[in-house]
Amino acid sequence: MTLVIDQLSHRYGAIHALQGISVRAEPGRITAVLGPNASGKSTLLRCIIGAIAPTSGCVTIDNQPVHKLHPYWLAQRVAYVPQRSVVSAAFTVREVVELGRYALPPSRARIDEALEKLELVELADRPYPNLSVGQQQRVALARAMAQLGRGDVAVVTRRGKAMPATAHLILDEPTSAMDLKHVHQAMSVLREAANGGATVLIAMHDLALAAAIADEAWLLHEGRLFASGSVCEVLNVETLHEVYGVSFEWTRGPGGKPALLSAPPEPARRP
Amino acid sequence: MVGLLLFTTLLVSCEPPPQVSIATDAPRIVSLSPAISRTLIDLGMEPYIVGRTPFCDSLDPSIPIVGDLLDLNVEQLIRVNPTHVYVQPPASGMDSRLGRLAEERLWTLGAWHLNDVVDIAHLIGDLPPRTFEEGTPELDASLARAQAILKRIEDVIVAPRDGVFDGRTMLIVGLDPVTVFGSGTYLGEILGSVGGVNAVDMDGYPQLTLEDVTRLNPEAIILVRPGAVEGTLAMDAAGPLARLDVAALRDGRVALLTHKDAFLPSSALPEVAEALRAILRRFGEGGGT
Amino acid sequence: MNRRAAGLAALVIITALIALLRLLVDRDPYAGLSLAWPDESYAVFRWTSVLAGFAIGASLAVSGVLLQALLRNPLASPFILGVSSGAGLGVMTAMAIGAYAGVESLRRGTNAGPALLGALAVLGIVYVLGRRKGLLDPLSLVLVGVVIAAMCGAITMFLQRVVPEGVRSDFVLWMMGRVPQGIEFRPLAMAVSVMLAGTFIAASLGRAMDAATLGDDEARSIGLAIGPLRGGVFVLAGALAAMSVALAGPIAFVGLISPHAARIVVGPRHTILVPAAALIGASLIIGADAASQAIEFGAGRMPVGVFTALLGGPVFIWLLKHRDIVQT
Repeated sequence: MTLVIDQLSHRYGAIHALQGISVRAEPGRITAVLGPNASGKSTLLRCIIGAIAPTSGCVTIDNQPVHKLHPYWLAQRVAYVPQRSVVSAAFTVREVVELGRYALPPSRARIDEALEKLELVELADRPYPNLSVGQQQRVALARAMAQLGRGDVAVVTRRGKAMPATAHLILDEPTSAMDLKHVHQAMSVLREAANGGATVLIAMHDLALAAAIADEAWLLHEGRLFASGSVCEVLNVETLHEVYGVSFEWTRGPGGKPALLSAPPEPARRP
Repeated sequence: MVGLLLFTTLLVSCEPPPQVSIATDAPRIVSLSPAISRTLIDLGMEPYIVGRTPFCDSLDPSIPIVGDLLDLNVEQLIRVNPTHVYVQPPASGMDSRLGRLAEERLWTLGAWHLNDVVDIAHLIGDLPPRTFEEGTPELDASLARAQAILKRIEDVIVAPRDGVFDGRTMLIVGLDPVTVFGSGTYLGEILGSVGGVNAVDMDGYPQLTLEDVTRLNPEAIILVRPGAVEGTLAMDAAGPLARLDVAALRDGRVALLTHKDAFLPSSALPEVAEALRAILRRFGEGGGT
Repeated sequence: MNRRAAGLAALVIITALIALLRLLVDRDPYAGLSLAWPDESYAVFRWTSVLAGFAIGASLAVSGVLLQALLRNPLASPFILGVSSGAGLGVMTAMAIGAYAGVESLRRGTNAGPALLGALAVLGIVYVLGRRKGLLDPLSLVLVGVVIAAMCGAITMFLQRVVPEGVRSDFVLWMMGRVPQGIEFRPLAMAVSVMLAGTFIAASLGRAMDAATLGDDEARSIGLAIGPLRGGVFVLAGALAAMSVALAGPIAFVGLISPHAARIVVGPRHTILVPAAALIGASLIIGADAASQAIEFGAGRMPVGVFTALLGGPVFIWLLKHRDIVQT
């Protein structure tokens, strides 16, 4: 049990962004963090990476409260990919990916591996700011992979002692601007990390994608944890209707796998 | 034949450098003040000047510029190898490097504050003995010139004041905002000494609003514009003042003082005073320019 | 990497050549312009000018690199934090006190002490007010900097109005910026050591500044303690800028241009960018000083700031127009 969220609340002024959330994430599993806009997904993720301190309750990783940990220590256990990764310098793609090793021993092999996995080898020497948003998302993911992509990591502390730890990959809408092929590629990379022992947490809007790739799901609604558990349990049609106000339907997708469909807002008119 | 001779003379005079032959142990003066430069010229000491400021425009332009008190070009100052450095210290005090260099290199450093007529008289009297050894013909010659200038100053001040306009007169330095010579300034003093009356009874260079000017209601206005083009009409130069309802404008007593050294508290004082008096006389006869 | 090392080496050579030019530019008072080794009696003024120019230019440039990284803003320059306005206010206040209280040591407008004090005081205020939730916030910093600069400007104007006539023109001259000539040993040694130490520390923070080009959350997630870094970078940038302003007055554009020019030569990595920008800044100031020493139209020297602005303005507009190839 490495990532534990206990009675977590966070308030921005008078607005309760998160209220009394208690849940835990399992190593080796992909957990989808779901919910409508402003349900608290991003705030939850930022609490988990220690970027904001909770108003009450806490998030612990390896029994340590994250908001009190030094970033250097945390970076050896938690990697984070934001919705949009902005780099305010004309670094090349390779240089941006190298930044992932900031708190870790340099490793050319890990960087090459990450570039290859996300098909960035040909873009490696291009300036990052010149890329499309979708390409930039792949670079951000590659950066996180170079940091903790193998799942189970041996952490070298500042005193030079190596100790095993679980990798946590925290991703906020990491594929929102990618084309479908690269979405699938990204998801298989994340699955591989999970198989390696990593705890993977992805905030996402695409429920169908979540249904297809996640093992577990947390459904947030108005700052509270509305439901959590296996993805099939959480994504039942009644719950979703209650949270999103939209009708959903489980069907059989290509290859006979279960797939989640939402009803269109109104029948599309076709000539 | 005569033409050829003249031509040769011209050629020879164009040959560099046109330096006056002076003894090698003659003083080498650097003047860091336009007013002191002007005074040195009148004392016949221009041939000894080896360095000047960019603002010393009465001097031969071929004399090297060594900067001014605020932006001293130390390298050039040393290279002109002065024996005497004369300055008019600014309000913020003198450049500390100058004192240090003068001490190291045994330069004679002369400093004069030039705020009023007495200061100017002191400068004129001081410069020759400060520069030349006692008993030298150069000292005698320049002292004689100093005497003459001091006499002229005296003459201007004690000259009969009849016919001089004695209404309240405003001496204007700048127009936006209106800035005037107050009573304690050197031009304010000259105004009084030639028989005029300063409309502004304040010290220094007060700034006035147009409202203030109207309230003070000067009976004459003199715009001090050194080097203004001859023939410029005073009314044209008066700017916003021309629209005011004051006695000076109603009676047409507005004039320009264009003497090029009108701002320099220097040996030009008698000339400036004469020019000022001429204007006041004209006002006394009942008309401006 | 090789290309970048070669770029840095080229910059070292160019800087050395420009420094040599400044040493050799010889304006004979009678014969005019030439190149000549200086005579012993005034050589010291050329050497000290080169050293002072190096310290001023390198400090401004490194300060610019630090602030552009800190504020994530390619248009940031030392003066955006109100450093020069603060220094100006310091100088003006000292002049006013000197003029009224008759304190001779304060009346000297070119004194570095009041400028340094003013710059540091403004930096302190901007630092305290530019924080949000305990972290220096780039946008707040810029806004507070601009507001404090405007207020300092207003107080300076106010003082200019109330001080005696002569003091005003002295201040105007200070505001034009110049490389001091014949500077004394102690302030020179201090400026050079501040510049060297500052450049060294800045370069050693290079990797952290690289990491800080990511957003705050992301930078933190790769292991960067962004709060302490911002604080350190702010203090360092402020100290470097304050020192150069105290010495030379505000000199435009060097702090803005040098980092951009350096990026074109050695790329965006801060560890190499810092020394490269320092060399370019030093070259700019020493070169402008050489031009100021060489060119004269019979009206005295041009202030160094005139040359840096004339050169810097067009270069900066070019950079703006080609922003896509010259990202921060």
